[in-house]
Amino acid sequence: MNSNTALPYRARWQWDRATFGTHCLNCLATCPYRVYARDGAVAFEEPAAAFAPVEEGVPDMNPMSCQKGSAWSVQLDSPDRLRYPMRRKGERGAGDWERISWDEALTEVADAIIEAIDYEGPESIVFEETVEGGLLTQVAYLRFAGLIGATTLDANGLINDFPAGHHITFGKFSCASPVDDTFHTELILIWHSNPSYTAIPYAHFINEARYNGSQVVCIAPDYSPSALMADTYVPVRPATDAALALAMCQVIVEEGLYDRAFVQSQTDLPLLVHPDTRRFVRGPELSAGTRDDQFFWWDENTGEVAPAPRGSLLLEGANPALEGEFSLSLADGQTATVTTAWELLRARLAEYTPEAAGPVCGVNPEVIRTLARQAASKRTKILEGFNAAKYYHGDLMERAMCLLLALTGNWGRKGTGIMGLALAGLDGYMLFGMKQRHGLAETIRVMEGLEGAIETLRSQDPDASDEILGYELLQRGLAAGTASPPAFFHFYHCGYAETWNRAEWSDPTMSRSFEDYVSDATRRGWWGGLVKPGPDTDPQVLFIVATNPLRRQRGGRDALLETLWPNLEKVIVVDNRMSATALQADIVLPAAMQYERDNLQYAITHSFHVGFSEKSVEPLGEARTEWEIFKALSEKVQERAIEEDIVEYLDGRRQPRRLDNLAQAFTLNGAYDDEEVVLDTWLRDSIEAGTLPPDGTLGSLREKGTVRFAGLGMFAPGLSLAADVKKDETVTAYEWHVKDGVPFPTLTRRAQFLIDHPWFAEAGEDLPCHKETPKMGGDYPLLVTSGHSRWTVHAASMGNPILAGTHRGEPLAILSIVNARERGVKDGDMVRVANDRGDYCVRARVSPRVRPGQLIVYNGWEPHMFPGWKGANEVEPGMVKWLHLVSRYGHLRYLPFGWQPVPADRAVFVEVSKA
Amino acid sequence: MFVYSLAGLKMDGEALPDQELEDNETTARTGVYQLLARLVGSPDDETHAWASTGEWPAQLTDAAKLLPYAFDFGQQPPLDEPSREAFEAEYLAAFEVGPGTGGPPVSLVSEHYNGGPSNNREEVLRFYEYFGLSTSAEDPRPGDHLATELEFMKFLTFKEAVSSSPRLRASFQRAQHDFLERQLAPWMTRLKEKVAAADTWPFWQWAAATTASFVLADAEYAASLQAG
Repeated sequence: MNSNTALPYRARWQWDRATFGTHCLNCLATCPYRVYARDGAVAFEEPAAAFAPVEEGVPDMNPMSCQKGSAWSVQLDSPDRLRYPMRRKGERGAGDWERISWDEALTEVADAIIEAIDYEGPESIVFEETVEGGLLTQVAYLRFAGLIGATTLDANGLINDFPAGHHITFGKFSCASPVDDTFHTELILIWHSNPSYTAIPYAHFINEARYNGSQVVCIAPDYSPSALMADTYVPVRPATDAALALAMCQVIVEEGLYDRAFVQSQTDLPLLVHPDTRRFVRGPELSAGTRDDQFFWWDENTGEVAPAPRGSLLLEGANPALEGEFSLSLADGQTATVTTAWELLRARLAEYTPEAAGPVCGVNPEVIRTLARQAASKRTKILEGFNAAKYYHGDLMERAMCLLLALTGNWGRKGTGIMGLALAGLDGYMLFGMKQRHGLAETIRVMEGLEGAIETLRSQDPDASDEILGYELLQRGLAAGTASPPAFFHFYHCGYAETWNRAEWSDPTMSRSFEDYVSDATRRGWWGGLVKPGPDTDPQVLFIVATNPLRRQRGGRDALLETLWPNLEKVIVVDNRMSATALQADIVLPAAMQYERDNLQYAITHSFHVGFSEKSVEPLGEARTEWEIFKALSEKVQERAIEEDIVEYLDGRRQPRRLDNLAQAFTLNGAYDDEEVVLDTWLRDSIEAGTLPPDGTLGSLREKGTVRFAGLGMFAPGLSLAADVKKDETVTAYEWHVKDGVPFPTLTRRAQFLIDHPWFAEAGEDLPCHKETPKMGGDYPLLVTSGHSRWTVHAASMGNPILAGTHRGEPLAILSIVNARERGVKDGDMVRVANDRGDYCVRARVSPRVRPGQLIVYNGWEPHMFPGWKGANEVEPGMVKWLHLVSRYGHLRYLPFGWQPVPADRAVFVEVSKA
Repeated sequence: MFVYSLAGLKMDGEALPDQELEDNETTARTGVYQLLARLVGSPDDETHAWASTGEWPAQLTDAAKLLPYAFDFGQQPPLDEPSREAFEAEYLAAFEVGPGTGGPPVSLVSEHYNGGPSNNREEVLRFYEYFGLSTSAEDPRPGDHLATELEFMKFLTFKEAVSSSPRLRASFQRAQHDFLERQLAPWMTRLKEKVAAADTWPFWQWAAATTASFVLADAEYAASLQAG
C-alpha cells in the first residue's frame, strides 16, 4: 500500500475516545462493542470480545456481534433520524410538519394528558409497551404511566413472542439455558427457528457443538439457511410440527424408550384421572376439607392411593403407577374406577403412529422413528425461537415438543431443554419502582418487605417454592398496576371483534363465537381489573415509545388507522427515526440513540451477561433520552395541572391521585434527576440482591464492558430459570426441578400435559394434539410463513445504507419454482399477495429452497417500502386463539409478559398473482 | 463511649447528627478510621498537638482496643520541626503540591494509583451516592482522596454498628469489603512504597505507612467476614 492510499485509510480508523456500546434491540443479544469516537462523532465500532471463558473446555461467547450491530453508527445521522420536536400541520399522515420547541411540544402533550384525565380518566391514556430501546427507555415511560394511572399494553400481547405451550406445560417459559450450554448437547433440533439469520451472535455454538460430536437436525418447511448447518434436514409440511412431535412420542412410548423415572417425578402423567370426564381426582373427592389442588397417584410400592407431594418432585421411595385402572373410595361413600393421565396420553398417541402422522406432516415414518430413537438416547435440545408461538396452534406444537423432552428426560440437565426466552434477574430494576427513597437502606427495607410478604404467603401454602410464591406476589400486585393484555384493547377499541368472530377463519371446534367466549370469560371475572381501558372508556391519548405498531400490527396498518386513530385526541411518538407510526403522529419527540446515552439491555439468559451501552457522543440535534423527556413531561404536567386547577382525580380503581407532585414523584425528590444515578442504583441494588457480582457497578462496566450474572435473585421471573449459578460452569435451566425436586409453578406442581379445563376438553386440546391451521384469511392455496430477516432487527436497521447495500433493498416474497411457474411469475416480477383480509404488492423471488404451497415474507419492512404503503401485515387477520382467554385455572392466569391471549400472524392463506 | 461525626462527607437531604454508641468491635474500626482520616487529612491544631507530643499511637491504640484483630500502630517518629506552620508546610510539600512544579512526591488521591483517570473517581462518587452521601462542598479534597475514602469507611462501619436489621448489617459489611477490595486497598501497597522512598519527614512517612497497613489489615478482616 503506497502512502497516498494508506493515509486516508488510516485516517478513517483514528479515534480519540473509546467506550463500550450495545444496541438494546429486541434481538436477545447483549453484544459488547467497542465504540470509537473522533472529534465528538462516532467513527466506527467493532466487536469487543469482552466475555471471559466460563467452563473449561466450553467455547466462550466471543465474538458476539452481527452486521447490524457493526453498522449501527451509520444510523446515528441517517436521513430518517429525528432531530427536533415536530408537530403535524395537515392531516395525520400527510407528511406536513412544523418544527417546534421542546417547551411547545411538552405543553401540548401535557395539556392532552390533563384533558384526557379530566374527560375520560387516566386509563384513556394508553402506552404501547415494548422491549426495544433498553431499560432506561422502558423505565421512563412505565414510571410516568404508573404515576398517572395510565394503561400500558403488555408487550408480549402485541408482539406475541409468548410461547403459550411452554406456559401451559411448565407455568412459565424459561427453559432457555444460556447459549453456551448448547455445547453440551448431543442432539440439536433446530425446529421452528432459523438461527443463521436471527441469532447470528450465538449461532457459532451450534457449529462448535458439532465439532464436539453433537448431531444437528434442522426441521423446517423450507430448506432454510440454518439447514446448511445441519447434518440432517427434515422437511415438514408447514404448521404440522405437533403431528411430527407426537409421532416421535408415540414411537418412544411404543418401543419403551421413555425415561420412566423422569416421567414419574417431573410430570403430571402419573396423576389419577376419571376416565369419563378426563378430570383429575382432586382432594375434596377423597377427603372433605382437603385442598382442591391436591392431586393423587397410585403408589405401586404400597398398593394404595397417595397424595402426590405438592412440595417436591423427588419420588423419595414412591413408585407412582403409570399404567392401570384403580378403584377409589370417595368421601361421599361411593367408589370410582380411575386411571392415570399417562393412560389418556397413550390413547391419544395411538392416533399418531408414524404411518398415521407421516402423511399429515409430510415426513417419512422411518425418518420419524429414527429421530425418535435418537432423541430418546441423547441429550437433546430444541432450538425453537419465537416462530411457533406466532401460529394459531403454536401452543399445541410447543406442548408436543415439551412432551418429547419429558419422555426422554431432556430438561434440567446439561445440553437439554427448549430454547425460547428466559429472563435473567436484574433485581435492581425490579426494586426500583418500589423504592420511596434513594440508597441502600431503602433497598433493604423494600427487600425485607417483600420477604415478609413471601413468608405470609408461605404460611398459607407451606409447600410452595420461592418461585411459586413470587408469582403469587406478582399476581396480587397486578390490580394496582397499569398493565393490560392488549387483546381486549383491540377487541373493544380497534374493531377486531368482527374479524375474530369469523368462524371460517377460526378453529372448527369452537362451539360459540369468539365474542361469546369473551363475554363468558369476563362474566366469570377471569380478567377482572385487567381490561383497560374498559369497553366504556374511549382511548384519548396514545403514546408510542421506541416501537412501531403500524409496521407490525397483526391485522394490518389500516386496522388501527381506520378504527382507533380517528377517535384519538393525540398521538405522540417518541423515537429516534421517522417510523411508519411516527408518520401518523400528531407530535414526534426525538430520542437519543444508543452510543448517545448510557443504557442497559433487558436482562436475558442467552448470554447471561449484562448488556451495557455507554454514552460516546452527544445526542444528535435536540434529541433527548426518554428519561429526560418524561422527567420534563412530569414537570410540565405538574405545572399545567396547577395552572388549570386539575390536580386531584380518581384512577381506574377509584383511588385518588395527584398531579401537583408528579415531578417530585418521578425523580424521588430529585434523587433521580440524573439517569446515571438510576442506572447505578439498578446495578448496586442488583449486587445487593446477589444477581450481580460485586464488580457489577457502572464504573466497572465502563472498564470491562460486561459482567456475568451471579445469581437469580428474589423475583419470580429470575427464579424461573431454576438453576444453580456457578462461576466456572455453564448454567442449566430447570436444574432445580430435576436435581432438587423443586415443584413447577403449575396447577399440579408438575410439568402439566393434561389441562382438565372444560374449554380445553371441549376443544379436544386437554392433551397435546395436532390441529390443522384454520383458514385464516380465506381458502387460498399458499400459506405464508415468515420470520426475521437477516438484514435488520424488526425495522430498526431498514434505513441503514450499509445494510441496504447487502440485499436487494426492498421487500421480497419468496415462492417456489412450481408455484411461480403455475402463476407465470418470474424472479424479480412484482406480484400481488391477496386474501379476504387485504392485499399488498411486493417483488417476487423464485427459489428452489421453498416448498410448493409455501410463501416466505421475512418481516421488518416498513409499510412505506411497499407500493401504496401497504405492507405484509395487510393480509394478517391477527386471529386470537379463544382458549387463551381461559384464566383463574391454576397457572393459566395473567402474568405480565406471560399468559394472555395473543394474536397469530404466521400461516395465513393467500394467493399470489402478477401485479 | 464512641462519638461519631461526619466530617469530609455530607448526607443528602438530612444531616446525620453526632451520635454516641456503645463501644464494640465495629465501633472500634469506626474510631480508627475516624482518627486516620484526620491523621492524613489537612493538619489542624489538635492533630498537630498530638504529633508534637507523640500521642498519635496512644490515641489510635485506645480507639482500637476492641478491634477484632490485633494491630500495632508502632512508634511515632518525632517531628523534624515543632511549629504548626512547618508541620503543615511539610504535609503540603509531601502530599499536595510538592517542592516544585512536578507535583507531590506522594499523592493521596487514588486515581493516581488505580489507573483510569476519570472512571475511578466516578466509581468512588457513585459509591458515596448510593449510600446517600456526597462530597462536602466545604471540603476541597477530591472525592477519592485518602482522607475522604477513610471517612467513607468510617461511615460504612458506623452504619453497620447502628443497623438494627441483620440484613442491613450484612449489607454494610459487604459494602465495606467491596469498597476496600476494589477501591481503597489496591493502592495502599504502592502508597507505602512511595512514601518510604519520598524525601519527607519520618512522621509523615509513618503516618501514611501506618494508615496503609491498617487499611490492608482491615481489608483482610472484611474479606474474612464474607468468607464466613
